[in-house]
Amino acid sequence: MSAPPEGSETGFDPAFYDRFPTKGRRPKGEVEALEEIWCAPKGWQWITVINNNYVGVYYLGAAMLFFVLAGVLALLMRTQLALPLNGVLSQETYNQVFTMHGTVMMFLFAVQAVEALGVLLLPQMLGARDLPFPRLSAYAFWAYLIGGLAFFCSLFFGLAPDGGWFMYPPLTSTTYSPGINADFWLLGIGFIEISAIAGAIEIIVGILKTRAPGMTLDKLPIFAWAMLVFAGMIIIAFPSVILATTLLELERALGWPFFDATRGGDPLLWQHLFWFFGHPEVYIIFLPAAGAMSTMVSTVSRTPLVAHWMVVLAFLATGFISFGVWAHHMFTTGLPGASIGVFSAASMAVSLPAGVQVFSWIATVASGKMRFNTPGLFVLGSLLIFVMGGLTGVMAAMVPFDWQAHDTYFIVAHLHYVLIGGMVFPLFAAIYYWTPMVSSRALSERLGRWVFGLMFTGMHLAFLPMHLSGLMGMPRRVWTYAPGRDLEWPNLISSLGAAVFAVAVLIWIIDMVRSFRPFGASAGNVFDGGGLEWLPSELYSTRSIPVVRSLYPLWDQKNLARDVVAGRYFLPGAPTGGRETLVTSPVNAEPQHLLPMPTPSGWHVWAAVFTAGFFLLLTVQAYTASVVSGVLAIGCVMRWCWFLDHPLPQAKVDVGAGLELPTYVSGPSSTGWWAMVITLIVAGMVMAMSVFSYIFLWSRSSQAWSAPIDFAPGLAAAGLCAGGVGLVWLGNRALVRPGQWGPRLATLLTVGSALLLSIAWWLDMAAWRTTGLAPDLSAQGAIVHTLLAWQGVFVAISVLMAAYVALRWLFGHVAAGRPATVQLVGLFLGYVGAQGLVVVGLPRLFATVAS
Amino acid sequence: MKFRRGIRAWSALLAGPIIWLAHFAIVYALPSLAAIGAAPVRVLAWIHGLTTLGCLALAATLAVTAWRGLSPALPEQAFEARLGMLGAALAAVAIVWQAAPAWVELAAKGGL
Repeated sequence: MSAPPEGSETGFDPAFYDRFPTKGRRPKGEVEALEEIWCAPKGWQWITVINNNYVGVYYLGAAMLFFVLAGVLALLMRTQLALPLNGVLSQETYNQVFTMHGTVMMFLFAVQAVEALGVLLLPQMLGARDLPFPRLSAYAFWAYLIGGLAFFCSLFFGLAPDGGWFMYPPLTSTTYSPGINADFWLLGIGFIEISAIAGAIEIIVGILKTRAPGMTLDKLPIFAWAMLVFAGMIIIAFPSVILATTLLELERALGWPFFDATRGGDPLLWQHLFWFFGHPEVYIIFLPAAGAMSTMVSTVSRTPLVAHWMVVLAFLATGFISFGVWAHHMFTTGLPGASIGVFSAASMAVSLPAGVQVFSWIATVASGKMRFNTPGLFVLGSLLIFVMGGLTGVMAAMVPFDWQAHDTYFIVAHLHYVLIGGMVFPLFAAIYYWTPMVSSRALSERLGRWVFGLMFTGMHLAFLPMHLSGLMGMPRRVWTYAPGRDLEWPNLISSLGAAVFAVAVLIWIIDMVRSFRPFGASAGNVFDGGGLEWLPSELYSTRSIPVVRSLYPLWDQKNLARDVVAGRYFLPGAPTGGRETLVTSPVNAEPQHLLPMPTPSGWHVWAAVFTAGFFLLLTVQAYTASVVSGVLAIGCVMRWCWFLDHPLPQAKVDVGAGLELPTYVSGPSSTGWWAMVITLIVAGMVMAMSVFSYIFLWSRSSQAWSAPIDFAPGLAAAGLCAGGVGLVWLGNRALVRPGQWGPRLATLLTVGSALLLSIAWWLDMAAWRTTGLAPDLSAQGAIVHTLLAWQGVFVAISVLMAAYVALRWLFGHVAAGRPATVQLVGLFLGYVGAQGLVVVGLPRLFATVAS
Repeated sequence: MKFRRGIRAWSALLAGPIIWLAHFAIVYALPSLAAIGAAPVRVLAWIHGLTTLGCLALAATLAVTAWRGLSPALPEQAFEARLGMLGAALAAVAIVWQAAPAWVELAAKGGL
């Protein structure tokens, strides 16, 4: 056996790529087969469709709808504030309007719009037929759309949340926010975050595993790098807000006092949890936009991006450092001086990677021949606005200044400069730039210039005066102001600016209605971009998947488009007769196997409908209906999963130039394994933030935490958890051993593992119940019971999964040749066992320390 | 064996920021420990200093290792080495920057 070539990841020899482009004509019927397999939807299929060409457009369309709706709310606010003592909105309505404006912009527009851009563009950019889990993307979209619309409609019934987009307790506790307004926010946002996480899993696995062969990390498009960091940040940051919203909802619904200082809680815990999510959220929004900017700036300047690798490093560094700056939103809360110093320094350090990106863009513009078309204008406008917002951000990172500016309109101006410059302008640039890729007509250049001009003018008119009104002492979130304090002119100008901005958006809508024609032929590479997304493509993406030898393949690889269309690269047809894409290795993008892709079905749509129903019915306290909806959602998900893990008749197929790849794999080479590991990282982050909350509440408690702990049940529970992990490990080994008993033994051991985990959880719960520690009497009781409840949910899912494996075994779907389902369930159960050890150990450890 | 290349690549790319993150977690925890009186301030100040020096040493080692891997490598490996080197340098700057407030405070109080 020969040694693998130097630097190879899988033993694949890159010299194989020299066989491409292949010579000679392709057999007849390949293109027709692709067209039939990836055909356009008809009738109801427009709803059940899963192809990214459709779902991406739907997704982006929904995000822009929420942008317009939140923009209308902004206009209402600016109308109210145009004159002092204005009476357009009542104080209560104004509170709901500003809360919904911030919430919708941040949660329903910004994150979702960039995620949608990823779903739409990434498969084409990476040279894939589609992302690896198209039904997951479609589920995420429908969950987002249904949940988002229901959440927005709460405004029309006076039920919209009114506690500000960050919903600080105690203002949002039941004492000060009775009614279900705050519950809409807590359950609605928690639900929508699940959709964002689902999308992030899809994006990470897609970028790491479905790249065109040869697309090594140094040739990975800059937008894909940005999306990879973005999705990674979602996985780390969003669990924090999921935990925060869960805790506050538990406090509101059941009286568990996490944030109630009178019972040992601390409202600052909310701020820590919220901002651990909330500040990275700004970069989560900004990074994909920066990736898009980096792509567009090189095209409009007609030159490669200057210092591409430094921009990649800047993305990675931003991703990390942004997790160390959350407390700069809390400088006025009385944090220890030394802590404030650390956070202030980290906040300033973030300007280093941001500066690298900005200088790279400026250098690219300076070194190329800039075209001042609509995307180019938006790129330049974004640069200017973002730099202005960044500079005021560095000012706000300085503690003495922040103490003065905190909660004033100066901060409103700063955050709008950052978000509009860092996300909205790049998004509009991206819409004008990539529309010819997805539409048969490009958007109007003439109208586009008007949109840019009005938007740029309106933006500065609206937000520049706010720096002044803020420094003059005008606080945020006030529904009116008194005359005679020199605030009239800045506010009137801001309101006029908002109106000008709105006119720009209106013209853009008109332009979209006139020209945007998706789902058919594309207008082509009108801007002469260098990425794979500009290859001629149909609903099946490109005819064949090219070998990538450059960061700008269309600029550097001669005749690439011609050879791709002629089917002279990988996967020129459909060798399995179904939807499929090529899976490659995560670093070198070496071909590994062929991934059969799902075809449209209604199960993911129903799953989204019932998941939304579960959360929304919970909000209006229709508990029975909510449970029924939840059960139906689980049923739909299980039915959806039933289609998976079915090996094809062809164990191996020729994917081009004689390379035969398997059509079924399991373990770390498979996309399912990656998705499960990332899902478990999300779960692990929720647990990590729960541990942080535990330690935080313990350290802030004025009274010692103690409980008479009997260690014997704890030891027994820990032993059972370890036993559960051991059993599932043995089950996985048993399945792949030769012999007819393997599948039966694997199923039995998996079920046994779930059983042990259930008994462990019950033992632990019973032990705590005997101590008399009630969840509604103290923060200690609340957080201990939260850990137990969280573990309980995971144990329940484990039982469901074990039952699912048993059902598959009954139907003959558990076999040595198809171990993926048992392996993934094994991973999950292994994690639940490990989490159980933390849940058993942590409270006892602290009780021991306390005693 | 099969995953060695992948692990090496991602370690090169992420080691610098991870060192920064570890340092951040420690210097964030120390004031909190001081606030609850978990240990004498003098001891915590020593831990702060030693942690900072240790992380800087790690970042320097990483930068030198990456620099040595630059020249003979394949293009994709050179890319990873360049990122690793500059990432370590960036981490070193951020570490010094976020350690400085504690040193300034200590100096203002007359040192250890």
